[in-house]
Amino acid sequence: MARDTTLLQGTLDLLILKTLTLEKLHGLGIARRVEQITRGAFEVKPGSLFPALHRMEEAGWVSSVWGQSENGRKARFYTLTPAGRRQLKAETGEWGRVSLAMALALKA
Amino acid sequence: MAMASRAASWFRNLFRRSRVERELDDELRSVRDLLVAEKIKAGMDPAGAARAAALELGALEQLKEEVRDVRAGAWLQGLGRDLRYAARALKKRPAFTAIASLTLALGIGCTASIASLVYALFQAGLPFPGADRLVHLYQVQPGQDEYTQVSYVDYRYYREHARSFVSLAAHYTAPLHFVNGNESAAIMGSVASPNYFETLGLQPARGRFFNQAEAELPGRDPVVVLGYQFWQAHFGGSPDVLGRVIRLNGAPFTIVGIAPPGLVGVAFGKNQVSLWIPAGMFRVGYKYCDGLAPGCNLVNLIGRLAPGVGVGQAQSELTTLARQLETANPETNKGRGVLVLPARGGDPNRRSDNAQILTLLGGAVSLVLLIICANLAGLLLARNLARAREIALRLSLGASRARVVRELLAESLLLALVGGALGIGVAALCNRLILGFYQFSYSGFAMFFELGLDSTVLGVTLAVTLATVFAFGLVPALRASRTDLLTTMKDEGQSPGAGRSRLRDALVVTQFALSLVLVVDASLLIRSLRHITQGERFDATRVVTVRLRPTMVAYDSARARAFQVEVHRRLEATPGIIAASPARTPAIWVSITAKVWLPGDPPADPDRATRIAFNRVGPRFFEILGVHPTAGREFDARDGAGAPPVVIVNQAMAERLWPGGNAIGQRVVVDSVSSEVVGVVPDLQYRSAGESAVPFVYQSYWQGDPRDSWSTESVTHILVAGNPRAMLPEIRRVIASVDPDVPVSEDRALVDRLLLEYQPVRFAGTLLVWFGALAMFLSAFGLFGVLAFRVAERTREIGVRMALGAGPGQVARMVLRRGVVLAVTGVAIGVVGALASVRLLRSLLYGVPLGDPLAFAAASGLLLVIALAASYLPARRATRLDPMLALRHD
Repeated sequence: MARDTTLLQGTLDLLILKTLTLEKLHGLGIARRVEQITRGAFEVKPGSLFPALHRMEEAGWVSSVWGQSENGRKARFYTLTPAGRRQLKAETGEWGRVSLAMALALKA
Repeated sequence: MAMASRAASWFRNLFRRSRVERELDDELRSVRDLLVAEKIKAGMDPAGAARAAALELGALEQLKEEVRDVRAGAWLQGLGRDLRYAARALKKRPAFTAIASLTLALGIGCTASIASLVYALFQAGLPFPGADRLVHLYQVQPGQDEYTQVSYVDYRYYREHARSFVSLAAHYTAPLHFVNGNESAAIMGSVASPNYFETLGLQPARGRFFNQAEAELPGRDPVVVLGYQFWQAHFGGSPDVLGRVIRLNGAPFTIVGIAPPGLVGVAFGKNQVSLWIPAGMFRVGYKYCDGLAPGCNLVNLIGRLAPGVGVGQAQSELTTLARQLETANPETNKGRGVLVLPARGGDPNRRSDNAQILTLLGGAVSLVLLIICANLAGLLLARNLARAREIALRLSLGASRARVVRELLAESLLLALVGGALGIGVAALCNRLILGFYQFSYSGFAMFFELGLDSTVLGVTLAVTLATVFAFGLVPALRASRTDLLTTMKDEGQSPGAGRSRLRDALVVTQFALSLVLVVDASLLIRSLRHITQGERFDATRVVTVRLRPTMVAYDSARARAFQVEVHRRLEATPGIIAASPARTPAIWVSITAKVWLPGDPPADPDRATRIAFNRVGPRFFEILGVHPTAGREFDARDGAGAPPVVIVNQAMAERLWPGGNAIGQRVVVDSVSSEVVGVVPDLQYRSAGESAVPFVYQSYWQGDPRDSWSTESVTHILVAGNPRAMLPEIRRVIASVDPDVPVSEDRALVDRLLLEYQPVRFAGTLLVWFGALAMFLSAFGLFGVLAFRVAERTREIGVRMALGAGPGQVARMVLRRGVVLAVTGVAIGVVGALASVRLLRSLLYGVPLGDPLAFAAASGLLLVIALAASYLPARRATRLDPMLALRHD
């Protein structure tokens, strides 16, 4: 079951970018994929997902198109832009450094 | 790329808002559908699935709001919405809206107007093509911060040698007596170098300008170019004036051209020029020295910088040239340098005076603006309090505090924008008032002065407008958004925090304090003005002055003298005229000096003798001014040409030469003439608060050497029985009956002359009186608002008191006491501020001490009376409350 974990600032953006590396997804798809790849550790609520998606679209990291969902419904799909890929790379590196530092700090 | 996409989405959000909104709706609907489908697939029934999906999505409106907020340009959209909302709220309260935006308009308008004056006096360029490349050149001497003129000879040297200029021109502004047929007028003309118009980049409207050949040969080519306005006014704009002959100072001149409209000189803030004559005709415009000879320093220079040359570069070249001239002509040019200044703003000699008065007015207008903001802040606090429930409700329904603050600020912004727009109209009116003061120079000639609301000034106005939004709107908005939800809803707005009313009290105190500063300053200036026009030691109210210059029309000295004698005889014989007396310069002013020493104590070098302020006056001069000699007598018929030389001294002079002793009968040498002192008069001239009495010596007018043209010219002082202004035509007629060709100029009542001379005091005084009145009105209004609100707030308490036996008198006293306490506190603080502020007035105060107790007492008294008046209505309302109704009031 999804636990009530507060996402760190910036973590949601990173997770969204990550889910979009393989294929384009609609909003709900992104939420489910995040839950899936984090094994239910993070539950993404629409109240934070949609503002984040629109913010990232404004920033030019993702772009959106209207398409058909898996069950034939109209849905808005998001894809990663080249700027988004660069952003993902940069944030992944940053995350690696932070988590390594945290791990070291907690072990000490 | 990021920039471009951002810009694109800005555009999309702003101009295709409805589509964006629709897409967001579509997206959220599709997400809900997907959620429902997901739940059904997981085995839920359709109704349960729909409920679960709605729950998971949460509050849709809030979600949409958050998405909108992250959209670029969202704040702009939000602003638009807030402004519309604010407009609706303001429309519901037209009285509040009208008062708020009108007072703001007054404040912003006055500020804009002062800003445009600052711009005009310090920054505005000349109204010619490419005027930003024009520079003025002045002669300067080390140790003297005066910008003076150059000799024509030096000018030609600079013109021939300087490489920094495309063109360098010289000009001298000359008072001229213009005669055309039987029409005559005293005007200002310009004696100009041949390249004057070319330097300014102008083309003639008709005919031609001067040509190189005719322009500089002494006396050969009497030609004239008329100013466009002058042509319109005196020749009806008739095209066939070219070739016609007019007379200037008695000499014939042929009209060869008309200058383009708008050219009234190149010296901003100085006399307007009506026509131009070539430098070769210098003698007509000036005859005390040869304008074309070395050492006769008369001309001002204006140059057009060569492409790529900066002011600094021109300056260093001119410094080198000036040094060359100094080496070549040490007797005329020793220590003289040249200063190159961009042709911007007014006379550099008046820069510090102007800066001083603008500091004063700028300060005053800032105070007014602060008072207005404090006033509005008070109004908004009260108004927001009335809306406390509405705001609390909105906060409880999920509006963020920032959102509420933004909405309230939008209201302030809208008020300020309306106020600012109206303020531009106010500024235009205020500028007309200011122009009135700068229209005439102190000698009464029209000035070259323009005052406009150009883009710089409008920018300042906008900045001021936006600043006021925060000044008056921010604190009330923050206060309102901090509304305690529970208490507000529960108490139904009955118990506003004590802090809130303390803040409103503080605002009223501030208004009274600032008003006191303005009213004290205004009353000091009014007292100064009274001293100037009806001085304690003399009376200018029934005196007319006229300047007569018979030598201008090539009279010889005997004829000029005879003319003067006859004019004064006829004037004194005219009904309505009590006395007429010639003088060398107008009364009061220190404009010329004489070398003075005691007979037993001649200076080693006469050139280094003490210089004392000096005038030559005729019989009855002091009688005309209502001045009585403190000892001896004034000049009379005995003191004519050939009689023993006599002088009159003022008390400061007597005290200096014969301290404690009797001056009458003593001898003193004035300009090498040993004379007997026959009278002592009071110190006449005005003094600003910073100066001390100036010693003065008077010689008898008719004892002056008639060969000196100054001794046959006069500023004649005439004492009349009635209104001096009404006598002017009659006086002109009497003078013309002696000889219509003699130039008569500067004919006006002495009072008007004084007002022109003391223009800055009058100007500052007038504006400060308006500012002070506005400040007082606003403060009274602010106090009234606070007290009225207080009475309304405490209706129940007052009811209880009355029910317990308090009489109407006690209730009224309670309200009045509050009003008086606030006003007195403000006035007390204001007195301290005013004491600091009057230092700015130093140079404008005449015969009034800086800390004049009368001004302070009058201002404080006035404000307290105003405070009582403002407290009266709320107090009366409190006494009229019906205790029973008051107790039931909620």
